[in-house]
Amino acid sequence: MKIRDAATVIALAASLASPPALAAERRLALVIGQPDGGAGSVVLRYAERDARRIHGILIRLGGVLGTDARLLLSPGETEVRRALSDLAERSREAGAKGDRTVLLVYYSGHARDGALRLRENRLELSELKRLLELAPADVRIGLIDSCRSGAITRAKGVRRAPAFEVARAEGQRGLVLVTSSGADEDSQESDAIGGSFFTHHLASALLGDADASGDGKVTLAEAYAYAYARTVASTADTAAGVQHPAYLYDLGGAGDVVLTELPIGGALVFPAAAEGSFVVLDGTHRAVAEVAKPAGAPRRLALPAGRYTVKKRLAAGDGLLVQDLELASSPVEVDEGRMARVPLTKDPQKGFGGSRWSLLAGLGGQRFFGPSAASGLFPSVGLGGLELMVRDDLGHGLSWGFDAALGGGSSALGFAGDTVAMRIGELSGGGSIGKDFHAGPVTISAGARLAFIYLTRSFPERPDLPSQYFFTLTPGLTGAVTWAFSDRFAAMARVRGHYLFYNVDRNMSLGYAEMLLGVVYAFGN
Amino acid sequence: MRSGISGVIVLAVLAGCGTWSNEDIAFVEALPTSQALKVALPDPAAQALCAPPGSSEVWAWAKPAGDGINALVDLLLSFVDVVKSVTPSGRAADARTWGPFDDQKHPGKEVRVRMTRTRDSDGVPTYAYWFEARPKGGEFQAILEGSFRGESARAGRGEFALRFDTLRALGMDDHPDTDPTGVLAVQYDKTGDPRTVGLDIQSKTGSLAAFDYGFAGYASGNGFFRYAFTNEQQQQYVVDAHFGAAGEGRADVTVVLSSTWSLGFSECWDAAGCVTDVKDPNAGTLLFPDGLSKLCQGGQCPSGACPAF
Repeated sequence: MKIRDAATVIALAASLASPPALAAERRLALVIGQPDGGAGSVVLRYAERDARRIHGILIRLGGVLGTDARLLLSPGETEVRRALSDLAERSREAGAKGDRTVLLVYYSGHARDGALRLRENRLELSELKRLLELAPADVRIGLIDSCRSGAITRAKGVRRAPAFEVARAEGQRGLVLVTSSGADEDSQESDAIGGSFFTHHLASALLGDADASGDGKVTLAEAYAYAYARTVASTADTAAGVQHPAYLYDLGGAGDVVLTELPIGGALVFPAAAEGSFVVLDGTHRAVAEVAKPAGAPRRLALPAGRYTVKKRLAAGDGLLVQDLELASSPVEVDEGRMARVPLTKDPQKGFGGSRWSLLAGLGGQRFFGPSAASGLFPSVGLGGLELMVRDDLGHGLSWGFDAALGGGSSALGFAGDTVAMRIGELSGGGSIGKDFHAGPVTISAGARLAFIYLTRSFPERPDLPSQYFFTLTPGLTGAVTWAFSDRFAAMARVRGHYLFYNVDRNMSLGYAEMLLGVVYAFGN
Repeated sequence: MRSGISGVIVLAVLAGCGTWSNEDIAFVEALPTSQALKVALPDPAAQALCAPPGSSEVWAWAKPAGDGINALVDLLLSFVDVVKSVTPSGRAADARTWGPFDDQKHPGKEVRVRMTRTRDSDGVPTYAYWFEARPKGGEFQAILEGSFRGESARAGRGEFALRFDTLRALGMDDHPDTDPTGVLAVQYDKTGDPRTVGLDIQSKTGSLAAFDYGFAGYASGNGFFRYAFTNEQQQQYVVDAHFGAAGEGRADVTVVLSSTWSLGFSECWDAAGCVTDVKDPNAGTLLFPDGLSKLCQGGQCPSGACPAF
């Protein structure tokens, strides 16, 4: 089970055991993540992750029971309509019992030409708006994170503004639509934060960073204001251009809606004195929240129990402050005094998880090529070796290591039809530095290596001939493909190409290649 | 930091060093080998007790002759083995040098070996070599010099000369009373069938004043063995012996009494070395009543089977 899934389950169990006390209110949520917008659209990388994040937050902090929250990943139009209809029916039943009801719909995916794109299906934004308007819930909230989603707010009362104008009163009824971008803007994803800008900041807001009042509650107005400001700031310098969230706010009776309540227990606490921009990463080093912290008041982020890394970016050239924290049921304070200063190359958000040591044990062979090899000067030999590798020590994606190998074989020298049998032994070793490229469980590595090679050969059928040896340093390139088939073990194919300086008889330098197939054992976490 | 730099320097100096060389092997493979030179004769010790007229005396002569040849070959190989057991101290594209080394057996002396290689228009190499010695500080003198044409000693043609007179002059002859005094000249040819070895010695010591030796060994096991020697009475004996793989054979012996007078006889023997047939024209004469062979009595020589070669 993945950590993220586990966190979701923990959050779900916690919510079932002690749902937040939002009195006399039944909350229902439809959360949709659809990365596939059909022909002509690029598959989104983080639409489903965004949906999972919002789904988890709503269950854990938003007062939505797990049974009232529907998470649809890569659905079609029919599934969306059916789920929305089902939740509307539940809302109607709850309303009939006298409960106040809130229906929230979140969508992360493609939108174009005034319609949500659900693979090859379309759901017109106007239709979605109409369905929400007709839904039998006291408050209907639509959160649409997609390109040109602002088109849904083309109606009277639409504002592209940094904050709601909320009247302070109780008993709201009506519709609120929040979109991630304007009607003519793209909504953007970011590999650095592992999600869309808007949802990332919305999630940070809901987790507590938008609780500017410090009352332990994040209202819709606070969340929108926070997400608006952060999204605009984050996208100001992007190639796609600045992205402005927008809203349509039509709540009869006025007032504000509390989206999340922050529990007293497990939370990351940024003390009053803390100031600056913090990013909180989960155990997989993906961003789960950002905190734009002004000095003067503490800030709490209500996160599920787990292991987190908090980083704070310092002024240009000063690197980062990084701290690993274990969050359980009690608040944990982020202490800048205990944060380690690291260079930008060791940014955990960019995949740097600290140096990782591993050991390769492999078997393979070595083959020389070139005219000197064809003359039998350097025959092929078998090899068995060990390689100690340290990854992410010099910087993210950089690795270095040392290796040693023993080898041997038999061959024969030819002299005009006569042959001299020989037995070959080899000891070699080297140091290498390289770059790793990760693609899921597969890591492709490439780098440079400087090695020594010590060769001996004897002539067992000719005791009159003395044994010979050769030693040299040899520069080369190295590459590997590693497939991690468990947390600690991986299969590796290691290839090396080297240039060997040979000048005993005369300059007959040549190249050789080595290939090892083996198993890698990873030490530590 | 300084030790790290030193380590790098040491590694750089060591880089590309060693003795790994096919050419070294090609050079030493051109030197004569025991297999190429040694005489391989059926062992007379294996001869059975023979009924009269007895075992072949002529064939029995071959054993000490072969032993003498092989002893000289061993002497030669003692020089060659020195070269084969160590790696060259100097290399050029078509040359190798070993030494100079101190001669452990002869203090105050140094030895050196040089080899060169040339190729003819067909690309076949010819190796020339010189084994040289000197008193320390003196001039090197060749004690063994030779050449070999071919890719390896097992398939080529060579010749060399071992200079006993130079060895003696340098004080490096360990058996001055018995070793030849002149030049031991050897030719060998391993290119065809038979493989041949020829040897000439000029000697003024021991029982032999001069010695010529020729040997031809066929792949079938048959052989031809020719040797000529001159005794102290200045009588020259020439023996042409053919032998089969099993040991049977025939020898034609010529005794050169003067430049105008030669006598001869022949005898045949079986695989056990027992005489089967003697042809001795002088048998029954007044001067040689039992013939030169001494195997004929009253002018009657043994008569029987005689292998043809």
